Amino acid sequence: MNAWNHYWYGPVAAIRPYLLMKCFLILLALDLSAVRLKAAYWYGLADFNVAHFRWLDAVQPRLSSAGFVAICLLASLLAFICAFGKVNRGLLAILFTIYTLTWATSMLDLFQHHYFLSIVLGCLIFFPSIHAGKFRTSTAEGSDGQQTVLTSAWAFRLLALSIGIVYAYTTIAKLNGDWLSGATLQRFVTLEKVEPIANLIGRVGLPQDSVWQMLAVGTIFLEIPLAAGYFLAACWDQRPTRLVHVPYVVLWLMALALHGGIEIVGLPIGWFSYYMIALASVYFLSPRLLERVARPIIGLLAEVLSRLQQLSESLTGRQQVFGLLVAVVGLIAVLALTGWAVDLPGSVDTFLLLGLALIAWTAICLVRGQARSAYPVILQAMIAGILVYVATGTSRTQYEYYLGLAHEHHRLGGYAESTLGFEKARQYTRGSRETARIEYFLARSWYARGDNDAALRHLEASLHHHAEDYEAIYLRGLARLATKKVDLALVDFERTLQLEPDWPVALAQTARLLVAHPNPQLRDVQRGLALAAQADRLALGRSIDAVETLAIAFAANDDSERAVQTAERAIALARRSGRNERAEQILKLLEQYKRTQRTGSP
Amino acid sequence: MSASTSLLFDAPVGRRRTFVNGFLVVFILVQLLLPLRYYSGAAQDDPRFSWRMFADPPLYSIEVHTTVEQEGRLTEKAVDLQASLPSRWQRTLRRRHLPLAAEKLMRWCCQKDNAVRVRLLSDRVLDQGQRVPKLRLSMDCESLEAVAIGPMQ
Repeated sequence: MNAWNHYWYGPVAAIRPYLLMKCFLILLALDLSAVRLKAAYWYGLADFNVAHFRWLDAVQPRLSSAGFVAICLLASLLAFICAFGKVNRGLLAILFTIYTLTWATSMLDLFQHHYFLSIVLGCLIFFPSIHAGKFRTSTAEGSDGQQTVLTSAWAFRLLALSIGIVYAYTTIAKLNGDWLSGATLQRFVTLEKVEPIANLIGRVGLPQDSVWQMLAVGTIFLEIPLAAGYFLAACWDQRPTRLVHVPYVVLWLMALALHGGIEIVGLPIGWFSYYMIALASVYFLSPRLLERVARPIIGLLAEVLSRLQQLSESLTGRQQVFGLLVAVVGLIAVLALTGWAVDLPGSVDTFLLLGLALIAWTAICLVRGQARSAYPVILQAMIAGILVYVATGTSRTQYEYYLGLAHEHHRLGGYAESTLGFEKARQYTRGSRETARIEYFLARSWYARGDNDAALRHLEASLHHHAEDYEAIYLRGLARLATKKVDLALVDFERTLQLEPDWPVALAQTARLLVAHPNPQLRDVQRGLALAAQADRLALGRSIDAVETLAIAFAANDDSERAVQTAERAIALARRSGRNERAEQILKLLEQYKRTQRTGSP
Repeated sequence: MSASTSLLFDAPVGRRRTFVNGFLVVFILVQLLLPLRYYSGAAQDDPRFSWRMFADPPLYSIEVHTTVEQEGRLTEKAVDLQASLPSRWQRTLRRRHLPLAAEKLMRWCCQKDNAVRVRLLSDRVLDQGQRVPKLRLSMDCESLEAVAIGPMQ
C-alpha cells in the first residue's frame, strides 16, 4: 500500500501540472479553431451521419455543419477561458463533454488522437488548482540548492500512466510483419520526404531501400522507452538529483525525435505531434528549467490577475454594479463582433450564447455578493473571442471551410449551394492563382446550373489571372459549345489538348465534336475515332464518357458492329456503378446502332 | 527530501482517498481493457480505441441495391453511392467494417429512394483484388430492421 500511495500521492513539482494545464488548453483551443473547424462542412452533408456509439446515435439530434461549428467554437472558447484563469473544475468538465462530442457525434473523424485528448481533458478536471501567484509558498530544496514548489497531484500521475499505456499499445500495434518490413510506412509517406535519410544510409554502404525498415523499427525502439518513461515520470521530483536528470533528458530527446520526425515526414495526424512534444517537455524536463522558461509569462499573468483583483476590490457597491454593467456590455460587443468576423455558420449564435451564459453567471455572482469574481472571467471571455477570430483568420479556416463545402455540394449535385460556397470562399482568396481557381470553380458551378453566360464571365476572370489553365479553357469550350459557338469551342478543346494531351475528358469531348461537327470542312471522323480510342485507353476502360464516345466514333466511321459492342460495354459500365439513367440513355444509342447494323442505314 | 516537506496541495485523505483510489483503479482498468476488444477478436474489424495509429486498415467494397415500386412493379437497382454519398463517408465505409454505419446507410437509402427494400453487400478486398464476402444485409424499409442474409464475420 505504501508503494501505491507513494506512486500516486508523492510530491510533484507544481510547475509541471500548472504548465501542462495552460499549454495543453491553449494548444487545444488553437487546434479546434485552426484545424478541426476546417472540416466542419462534412457534418450533416446529404443528411447522413453515424455517431461513434449506438446509444449516442439514437439520442443525438440531427447533426448539421452549423451545429458542429458551434461545438468546436464553444470548446475552443472554453479552452482559452480555462487556460487564462483559475482552475474551474465545472468549466473543465463542460469542456471535456463538449470536446468529446466533437469526435463522438460522428464517425467522419476516426483519428484516435481525439479520444486521447479526451483522456487528457478528463484528467485535467482533477488537476490541483494552482494559481500563478502561489508559486513561492511551498518549497523543497533540490540538489543544487534551488527551491522547487511541490504539490501532490494524483491526476497528473494518472495522465502520465495513461500516456504510457497509449505508447505501449501503439508499440504492440506495430509488432507485425507489415510494419516491421516498412511496408505500412511506405503507404503513408512519400519517398521524397525521407530522401535525406535514405541518402545518409546509402553513404554508409547500406541499401537505400532499407530506410523504410529502419524508420519502422526505429519508431518501436523510441516508443518502448517512452512508455516506460511515462510510467515512472513525475516520480523523479521526489529525488531530484542530477543523475536522475540525464535519462529524462534522453527521453525528452527521444520524444522530440519521434514526434518531430513524424512532422518532418508529413504523416497526416493533425497537431498530435505538438501535443506529444508539449507533454514530453512537461513530464521529462527538469522543473527548474521549466520554471525558468515559464517565469516571465507566469509573472505577467500573476501581475495582471492581482491588478484586476485590486481594481475590483477598490470599487464600492454602486461602482461595482456600474462596472459590471460596462464589462457585460463590452463583453457582448466583443463577442458579437468577433463571432460575426469569424464568419462561419453558427459562429455569431455560439459567441452570443457564451455571452448570455456569462451574463447569467455574472448576475448570480452579483446576487451572491461575489461580483468581484466576475471581472476576470469576463476579461478572459473577451480575450478568448479575439483569439479564436485571430486563429481562424490566420489559419484560413474560412477559406478551406467554404471551398470544401462548395466542392462537396457540387459533387453531390447541389449547384446552387456550391455557387454560394465558392462565392464565400472568394472573399478569402490570396494571390492571383487562388483567385483564378475560384473563378474557375464558380464558372463550373454556373455551367452546371445551365447559365452559360455567367460561366463565361467567370472563365474570362479566371483566364485573366491564369491564361494557361487547361481546365478553364476546356470549360470555356463547353460553355461556348452550349451557346452554339461551335468553332470557338473546337479552338478551346484543341488548345486544351496542346496543354494537357493525355487528359481523357478533353480527348473524348474533342472526339465527339470532331465526328459530329456541323461544318463538313471541320468534321474529321477518323481523327475523332483516334482521339476517342486514346481517351478510352488512358481512362483504362473505366470512363463511361470515353467508352460512349468511342461507340459514337465507331458509328460515325460506319463500323456499326464495333459501335454496338462498345455501346454494350458503356451500358454495363454505367449499370455497374449504379448510373442507371445514363445506362438508359446509352441504350437508346445501342438500339439505333443495332438498327443500322440490321438495315445498313442510320 | 524529508517527509515533512510542505506541499502546495496535500494528498486526499480518509473517504476522499478511498474514492480517488477507486477512481484510479477503474480509470486504469478501462484503459487497459478497452484496446483488448480488438486484440481479443471481439471487434476485430473495428480498431477504434485500440491505439492502432498507423496500422493499415483493410479495404472493403460496399454495394447497395434498392427495390422500388415503379408502375406497380418492383424493380431492384444499384445505388450510385459515388454520386449521392459524401466522399468522406464513402472513404470511411471502405476503410472500416462498421455494422452500425452499414445499417444507417441502408436506412438512408430507404428514405432517399423511397424504397421498399434495401440490400447491402460488403466484401473485404484483399491485396490482389480478390474479394471475401463480409456482410450481406437486407432491410425492410417499413420496419427499418436489418437482417443478415449472408456472411457476418
